[in-house]
Amino acid sequence: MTAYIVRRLLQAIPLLLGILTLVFVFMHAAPGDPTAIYMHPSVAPEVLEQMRQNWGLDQPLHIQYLRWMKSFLTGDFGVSLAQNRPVATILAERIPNTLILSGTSLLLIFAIGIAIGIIQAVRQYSLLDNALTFSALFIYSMPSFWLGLMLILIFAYKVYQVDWWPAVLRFPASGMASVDYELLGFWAKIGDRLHHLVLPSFALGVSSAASIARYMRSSMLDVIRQDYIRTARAKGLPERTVILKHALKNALLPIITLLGLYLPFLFSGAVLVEHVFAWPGMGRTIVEAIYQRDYPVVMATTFVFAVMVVVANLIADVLYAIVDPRIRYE
Amino acid sequence: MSESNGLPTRSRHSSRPHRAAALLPGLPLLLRGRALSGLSLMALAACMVTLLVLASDRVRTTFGAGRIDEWIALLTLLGAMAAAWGLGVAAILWPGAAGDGHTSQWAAAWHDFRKNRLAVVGLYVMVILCLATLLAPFLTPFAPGAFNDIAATRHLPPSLEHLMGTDRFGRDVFTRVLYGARISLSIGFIAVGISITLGTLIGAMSGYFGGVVDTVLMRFVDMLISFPRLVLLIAIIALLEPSVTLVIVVLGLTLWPSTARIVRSEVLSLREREFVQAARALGLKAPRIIFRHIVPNVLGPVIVAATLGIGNIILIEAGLSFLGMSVQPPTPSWGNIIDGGREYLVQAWWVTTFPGLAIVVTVIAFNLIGDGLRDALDPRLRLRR
Repeated sequence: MTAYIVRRLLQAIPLLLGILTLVFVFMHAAPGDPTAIYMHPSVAPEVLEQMRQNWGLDQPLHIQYLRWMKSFLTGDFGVSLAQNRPVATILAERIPNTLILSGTSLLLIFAIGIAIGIIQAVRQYSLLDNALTFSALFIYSMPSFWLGLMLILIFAYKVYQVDWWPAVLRFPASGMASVDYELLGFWAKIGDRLHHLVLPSFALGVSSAASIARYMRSSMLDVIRQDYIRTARAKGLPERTVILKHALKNALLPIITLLGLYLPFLFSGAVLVEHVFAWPGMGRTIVEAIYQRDYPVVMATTFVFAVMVVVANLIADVLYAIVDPRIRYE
Repeated sequence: MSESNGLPTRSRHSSRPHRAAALLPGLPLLLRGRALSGLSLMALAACMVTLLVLASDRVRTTFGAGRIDEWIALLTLLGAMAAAWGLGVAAILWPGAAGDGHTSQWAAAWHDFRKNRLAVVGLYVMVILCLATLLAPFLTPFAPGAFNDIAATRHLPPSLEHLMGTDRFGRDVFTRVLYGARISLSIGFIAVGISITLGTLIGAMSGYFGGVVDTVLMRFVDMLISFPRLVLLIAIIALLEPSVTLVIVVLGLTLWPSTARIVRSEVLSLREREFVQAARALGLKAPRIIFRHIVPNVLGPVIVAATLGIGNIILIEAGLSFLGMSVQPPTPSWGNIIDGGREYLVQAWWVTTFPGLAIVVTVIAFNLIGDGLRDALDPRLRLRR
């Protein structure tokens, strides 16, 4: 087991180095160099030359590559051109926010997806099953940013005009905290944060939930047809116990591998959803950085996103090895 | 009816409809009992004739000083009419040629596909969409960028004149959605074309040669897949100037890994099969074996991946446009219409809502076709039935 985890960790290292190299290649494939934004008639060419020297841009490519590698691996992502402070500081502020949003979404996806998948499998080919399959198709084909806008339109504007609509179900349109957030008590703070999370995490996760439900349905159907389930039924166990205690455990196994598969999707969606809901996470950071042509921030954020995907895949693999004892780690 | 090979042989063929029936589009098929095909050909022809009458003055100006897309629309109009009529006639002249009589893999798949009602609905939606984009100049009296008196036409709610209302510059949203479909669909088709070709080539090479080639290519695939798609795309586009060509190229060059993986796993098992070994024993060169013997056998999964990929790419492109990193205004694309309406979401909900619905309908259509193709092209499913 430990050997398997160690081997899996070792495999991730060349992958990370490769990703790092790819980011370096993107950076250098861009026309012009970072001093281009300082080019101005009032700036003497000597000053620009001095800047190039200071930043090591006059060095041969392989030296630059090694230096870049070293600084990235030690967490030094350079200085943001637009905000004039270390990129690492900016990212440290933004990463937790993205993790909160995607984490909530991930919980939502698996909870909703698994529940709906079970219901569909238990009532296979019923009216409910068909209706759910069809709505899943609809939801799966929706762009997350558009869904976000529609949710804002309905649940953050229209419902305010309806008197009998409960206040709890009137959601804020954007941001992750109310104006008076700092003045609230501990529980009120958590409530406020959750209130802000509802719409973005729903917009982000609902399409993945639809596809998880699809996988869960077929996985559950596979398990239900097996002999040990027939045995459990034959000895007179109530259907609820058979499904939730006997079938569910095995049906969940293939779903766990999906965890690693869905994270890149989720992060892609987060870029758009954070933009729509003005959620101060990494997605919004990268979009703003692009508008401001802040390349160091763009590249560092891209790299961190990729690292998060690699780590998530690692966790999913290890989790899978833990829950499924049938996997032999040679 | 013999069902021995899973294909019905049509006994109704013996009664040939009268030749005069060929005058009306779709009638021959209708008389032969293929009601849906016959009726839809009839409906197609009827729509085209109506359009020709309704937009007759637009058609007339086309002959004078028409823009290129008006000429295309006119040709589409005439082509669709000819097709509606010709398909019916062809069914009379060559009764056996309508897919039956052949027992090839593709004919069997087409037969299976036609029985999947949802997939056929998807196909119809796709055909209607493609026709609508080509016929856009005749379907709407407005030009996509035209605005006259902004104060009077700004943010008009949906009405009979403006089916989807007007935006902040008083432009007709329906027109912009129609013209936006052109961009979205063509980016979808071209980018999928590039990525599928690349993916098939790389996947086939990786699977066939194995060894070092395989390791290198697959590690590269792992790397590309580790980036969240949209993040990778916007990082690359940010370094260059966003334009339609760039978006197509970047989408095509970054979305191939998933196809490559599918093809590779298929090729791994094909490589060991007798017919490939026989080809190798004959001394055929690797390129010939790959293109003539292996690639035709992986086309099924590749076509499915391509169809589902178009829906996916339309979603991604909409996201890019929404962020302002694809098609630049005033050229309409579904994503940038939504972006334009975002600021006025509360005052003018129609500007954001309708392009989004267009995306949903299109993507659903491609997903339905893709699912139908998957079921139809998988021979294992066919045996089970």
